[in-house]
Amino acid sequence: MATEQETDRGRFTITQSQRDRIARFVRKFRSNTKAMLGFSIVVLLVLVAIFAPIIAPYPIDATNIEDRSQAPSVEHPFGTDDLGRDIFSRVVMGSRISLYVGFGAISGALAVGAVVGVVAGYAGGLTDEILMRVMDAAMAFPPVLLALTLLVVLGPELSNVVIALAFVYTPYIARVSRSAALAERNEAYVEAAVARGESDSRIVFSEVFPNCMAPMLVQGSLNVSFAILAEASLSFLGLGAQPPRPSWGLMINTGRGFMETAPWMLLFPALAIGIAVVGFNMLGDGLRDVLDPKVEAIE
Amino acid sequence: MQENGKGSDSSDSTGDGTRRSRFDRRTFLGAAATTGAVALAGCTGGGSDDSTTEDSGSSGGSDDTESTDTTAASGGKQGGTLQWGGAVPVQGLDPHIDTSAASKRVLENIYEEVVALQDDYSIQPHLAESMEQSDDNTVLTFNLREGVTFHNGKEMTSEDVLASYERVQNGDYLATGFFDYVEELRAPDDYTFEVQLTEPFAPFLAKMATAELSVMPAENAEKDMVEEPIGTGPYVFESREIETSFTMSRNEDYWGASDEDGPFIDTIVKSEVPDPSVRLQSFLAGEYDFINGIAPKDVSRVEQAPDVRFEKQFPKSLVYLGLNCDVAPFDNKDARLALDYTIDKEKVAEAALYGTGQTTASPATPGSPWVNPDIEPRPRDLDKAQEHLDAAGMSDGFTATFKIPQSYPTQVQAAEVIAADAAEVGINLEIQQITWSTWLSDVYSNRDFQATTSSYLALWYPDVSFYKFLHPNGAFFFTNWVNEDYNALVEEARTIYDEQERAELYHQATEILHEDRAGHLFLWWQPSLYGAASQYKGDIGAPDGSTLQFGDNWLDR
Repeated sequence: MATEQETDRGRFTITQSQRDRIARFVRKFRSNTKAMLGFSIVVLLVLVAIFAPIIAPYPIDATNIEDRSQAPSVEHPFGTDDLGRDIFSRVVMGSRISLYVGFGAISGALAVGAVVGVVAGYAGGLTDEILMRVMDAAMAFPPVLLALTLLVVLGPELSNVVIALAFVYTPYIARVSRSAALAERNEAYVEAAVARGESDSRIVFSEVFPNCMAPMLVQGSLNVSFAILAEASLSFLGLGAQPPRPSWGLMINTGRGFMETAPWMLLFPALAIGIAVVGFNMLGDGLRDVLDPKVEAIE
Repeated sequence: MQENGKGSDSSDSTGDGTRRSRFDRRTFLGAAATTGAVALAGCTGGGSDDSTTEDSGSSGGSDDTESTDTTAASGGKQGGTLQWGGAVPVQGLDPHIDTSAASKRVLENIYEEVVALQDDYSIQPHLAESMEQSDDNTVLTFNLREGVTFHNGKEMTSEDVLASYERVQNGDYLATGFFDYVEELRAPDDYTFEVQLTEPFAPFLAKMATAELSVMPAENAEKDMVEEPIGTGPYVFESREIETSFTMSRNEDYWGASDEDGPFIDTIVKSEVPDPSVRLQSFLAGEYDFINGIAPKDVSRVEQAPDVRFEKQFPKSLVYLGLNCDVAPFDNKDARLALDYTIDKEKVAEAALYGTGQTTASPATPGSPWVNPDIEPRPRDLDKAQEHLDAAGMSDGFTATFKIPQSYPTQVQAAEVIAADAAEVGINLEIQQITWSTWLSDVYSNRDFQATTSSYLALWYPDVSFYKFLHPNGAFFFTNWVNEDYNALVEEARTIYDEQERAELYHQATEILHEDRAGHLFLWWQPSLYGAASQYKGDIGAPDGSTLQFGDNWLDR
């Protein structure tokens, strides 16, 4: 009983201060052009992905040999590919794959990496050493190379791409979470919690964890863009999404062979990747600016 | 079937100096029957040659054989260096071991065989001046040429031929299985070589014309693997850098050298340029005199380019859809038929080949007598597909993985069209792109697949088409389709030398393939596509369509 009440009270007070914080965050976020631009792009992408079946005028796998390799026109704003499929429809539907992999992989990486990092940071000592050396080992391999190796083992499938990229990006998240947790560990509220006699796990997950969220979010949104790029690279190499799925990377791979005769096959999926990557990067950068306490101090 | 030996005399006098020696026409008929295709059109050209004239650029047809002779006679210029932009890097250099077409494209110029395939698909003596077959077709006697020297300066004798053949017989090489039918190999004197068969076995002579039985010096034949090829051919191996380049030079002492037939070009440098776009770009920019492996989609660009020869040699290879008949769902004949009826073969071939290929329902070379003229690919018919799905107890369709070797863009394109077509009746083919080495290990060796695509090269003799990959004992069998009636037919066909009789058996076999929907669902025949600078003269290609012979080519500059 007593614990429950305490929890309720604790939550209430946090909510009060959180409101202030959120309001401040929103204000700063909105005044930051980079963050807003990135945010708009990401929102646009998400909307496109959600409504893709409505937006796309043609089915993505409807081949039509007579209309192959057509230049952009009114019927086919982005032209058609080597099998006569509408590239606009495929690019639009392709956003789902990119976002699925981007968000899927980074959610996975966040789930594992954040826990590992915060625990390591808070616990310190041997636990920290062991956890972080394992992470360092995983980090020693170039991300795409490691994902490639994993995919060779797991088999070339989109769900495996998510798993492989989640694995690859976990140490990056873990590192950031650890340094955040290290900084938080000596804060007064942690000492207070210890003094209150709270258990370690409670301190880690209820006290320290929420306060490390900001840098994780920044790292996460930056990594989403890397994951999107990585998926494109893997699909380009034939190890990611399989035809006829309209992965942007796969489309670029096919389009490469038609660079001279049908450049639109390469151009539009490449543009799409570029926009998505820039969007998530700007959002991540903007978030960092907004959330960084040092910037706040200057302000 | 024929009396023998008379022809050998006449060939003595004309043999030297020309690579196309004449010999007893009756012996030739025997040879022709073993090899397939339109052999009866004869050794001097003329006659009809349906298999090649229509589609085959300037090489292949028997008329072309004659025209080659005239152009060459008007003067091939000696010298120069041919810069060749090659599609697939040269693999191993041991002709008895290496299956890759890329290796054969160079080795065909370095090594030679006792007999050789001609443009009309007939087989004629090559390193032999003449050959004879006994009446019961069990003894093959070859009178070897005198004065043929290997690249190391040694003269070729029957000892070398015997050693080369014994190497294959006693080892584990590509052609080793064919020696099950060999009772004895003999070299009674320096220039006579005999093969004693246990029973009439028509494919043996055809096999002798392939690199799998090329002649090497006896001391090389003792090695398990030859890394520095030494042959008798018009070109001498110089050097190679793996995955980078391969160089060979003119054999100054070539036994068959002549002003008409060359060899003319001093040095041939093959640069390995696996990326088709890069290869084509460099070629059009003038970096190479010659490239092979032009992608069908780029044909129009090559045709339109100024000062460039575009050459098409048809057919090169057969592309098929492979269905594993040992595992669900394709262990069910109705499931196979249902899939067959969903595929629009013309559309698939057009999608992948841009009009350069031809659909087929037979594994035999188009235009050859082995093709059953009454059997056509099944037309797309979704009602029938549904009927067969119902019969298979899979009315809602089924799902199968579809493993495609990603290094063959035409097959990936085809797979996408096939998958889209099949999806309309609920057959869900999930494409999985795999590397070539994965294909070889998973699909081919372990037979771990449901559906796949692949291709076969050089099917100019029917035993390959019908036995090698469709009979359970065939070297390339992997789709697990077994039909005893079919097996009996193709086994019998191996022992028959009469063309008509043999063709009849293959026609029946084709019918079974079709009716029982064998694990090989043939998609199309495709050509070799070459581009050459206008100064590059002479016929490009070799009779079997997938390799290259540079002997009578020359550079006009």
